[in-house]
Amino acid sequence: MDGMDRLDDVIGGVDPSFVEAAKKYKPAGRRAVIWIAAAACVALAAVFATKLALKRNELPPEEHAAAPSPSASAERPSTEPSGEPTAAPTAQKEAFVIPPYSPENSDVTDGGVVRYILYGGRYYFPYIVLPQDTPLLGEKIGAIASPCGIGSTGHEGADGNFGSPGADEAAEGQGEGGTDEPSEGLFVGCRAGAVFSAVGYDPEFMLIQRNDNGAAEVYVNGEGRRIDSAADLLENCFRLSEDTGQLGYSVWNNEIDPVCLLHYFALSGTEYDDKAAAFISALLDSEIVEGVAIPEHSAVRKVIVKLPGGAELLLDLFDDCTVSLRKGDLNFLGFRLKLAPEAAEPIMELIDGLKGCDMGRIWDEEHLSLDCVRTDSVFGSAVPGVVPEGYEIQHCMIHYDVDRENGTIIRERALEIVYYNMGRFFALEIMPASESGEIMEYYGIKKLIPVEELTLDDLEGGRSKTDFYTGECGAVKGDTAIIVLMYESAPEDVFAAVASIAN
Amino acid sequence: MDDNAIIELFLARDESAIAMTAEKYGRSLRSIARSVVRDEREAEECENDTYLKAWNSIPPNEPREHFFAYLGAITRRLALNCVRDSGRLRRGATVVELTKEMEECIPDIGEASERAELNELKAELNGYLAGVSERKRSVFIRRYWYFEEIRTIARELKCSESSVKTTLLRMRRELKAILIEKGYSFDERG
Repeated sequence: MDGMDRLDDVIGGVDPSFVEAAKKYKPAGRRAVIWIAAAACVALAAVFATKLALKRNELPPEEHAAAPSPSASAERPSTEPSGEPTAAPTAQKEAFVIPPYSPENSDVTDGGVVRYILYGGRYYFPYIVLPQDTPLLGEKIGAIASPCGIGSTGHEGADGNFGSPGADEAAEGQGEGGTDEPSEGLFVGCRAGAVFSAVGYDPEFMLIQRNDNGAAEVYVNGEGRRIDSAADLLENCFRLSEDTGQLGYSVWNNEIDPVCLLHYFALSGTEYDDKAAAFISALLDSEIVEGVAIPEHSAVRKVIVKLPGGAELLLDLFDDCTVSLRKGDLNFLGFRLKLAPEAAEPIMELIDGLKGCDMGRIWDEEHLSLDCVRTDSVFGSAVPGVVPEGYEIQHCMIHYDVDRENGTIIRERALEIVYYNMGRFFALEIMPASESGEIMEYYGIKKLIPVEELTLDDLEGGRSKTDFYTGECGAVKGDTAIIVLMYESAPEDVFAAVASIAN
Repeated sequence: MDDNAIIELFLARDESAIAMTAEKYGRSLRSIARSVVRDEREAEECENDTYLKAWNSIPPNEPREHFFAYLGAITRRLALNCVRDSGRLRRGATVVELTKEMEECIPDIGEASERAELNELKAELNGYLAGVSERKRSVFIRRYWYFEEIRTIARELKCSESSVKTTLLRMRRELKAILIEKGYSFDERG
């Protein structure tokens, strides 16, 4: 019996329930947590942007929210910088501007600053790093001549205006020099260098810069896009009217948070099937009825969409998602829907994999993650450890226990740092050793190894305890536990980071 | 139409059963065949032959629980037969690759082996698969049952190709170790 016969006879005898389940399986778990963390990064970026914008405009939040903002109407993506911000589409009903994240009920202040680009009055924040040769890199549309400072260390000029030294010169050919106020065509940013368009995307929405390694760093507009309807929402994110053939979706039931997450993405080459069409159609026929002010810190924006039939969807909108983007083609760009069980029913009916799915609880998780949004290039000294060569800190996040009902933070629970290097990454979760039991159990980590005894073999040997990470290990220094989660990172790199943090 | 209703049509010898089956599962079945035969026309023939086999086998069979797996098993066998009939030289790269991988973890139980031994081996495999995570099981079955390419699995499961390859390698090793423990022997290739 040769291998082909074995394929036929033995594998053919696999339990049919396994065969059917194999196709229905969708990944879940910590990936979602990481995704949320990255979204939180954008959220806090939005906080910062909002503060800047409010200060710049000297408008109270309500007025700011109502102020016209550049519309992302259905223009074809252009590689030319826009002239004036496009007028918002005329709406039959009163326009609704999705309010930016509000730090109310939170004791979190600025919390650090991320890199950003200020262009045409819009703030763009780091989104994902793509390889140098990514086809997404478009034409050069301008340049930033010299880097900005950050936060109170120089971002704000002595005269209280925003801008950066050299910003005028940076506006190569933009014709808008001579003012500290950001205006259309003027580039200001934390990183100096050329700014490119993203092929297939409107510069109002996405820009690209080269990072220190030459890789293409994608920035997305982090604030203030005007939303009049769910159709606008889809238009803004996906250019729906022109790119419906590119729409697809991915669904999974998050097993960590007992919440069903639906991810609808613009996917390159993904089949646009009837179910996706029905879902999109349901959204298009809907209207956004109001904003909500839940102290939900991990969301960029919130809207409620009323579906035909009376169901309402609470949407957490993110401009980003992260992990799966690393391969180069920017084929995930989406928003996330958190669906209350009753609101999800019309959608679940459309999707086989969700029919009858236990949606679990929603909005009652006791843990919350807030992002420190530190990156090594601008905030490296604040990170308590070395950053291995080739890596950058994707984010540094504090986990809090929160009282959701009152929107208050009870205490800090853990610090999480994620190091990223073009598809490889590892995360360190740092917490009191006495409170590490739960996470150790989750990852199947049997013991905490004193850092001074930790070996590369320990890091290697911890592999495959869970599905997602390729390695997990626990270390301890004094009363502090360091949970190490690796994804295709070299143990030598991880070891260096762990050892330095302990020191 | 749900599977039970289609099965009822088969049992009633209603020829619309085939149209209903094709509408619901045709693309998936052809996809399985295509993965093996690498030829659209042959894949279509395999799909059509699947309906014929289903027509001839229902009744007496009533695969109400796992109708798609039942059909898929017919398709994959037809597709493998098609490749076999075409001669080894024409075997697609995927089949050759999978054949080698299978030889790593499934022992050669010999031409003269009894069906009982084959069934034991299937039971061991199912026992092993029942004990692994859903993700691992999905990777394994997508690869060896559905003949999916590594990159397809990686895309579907949102992980790297390297992760898929590593998972498969580990699973083959684990399975081989379990089977050796159970008294199966492997030749040197394995």
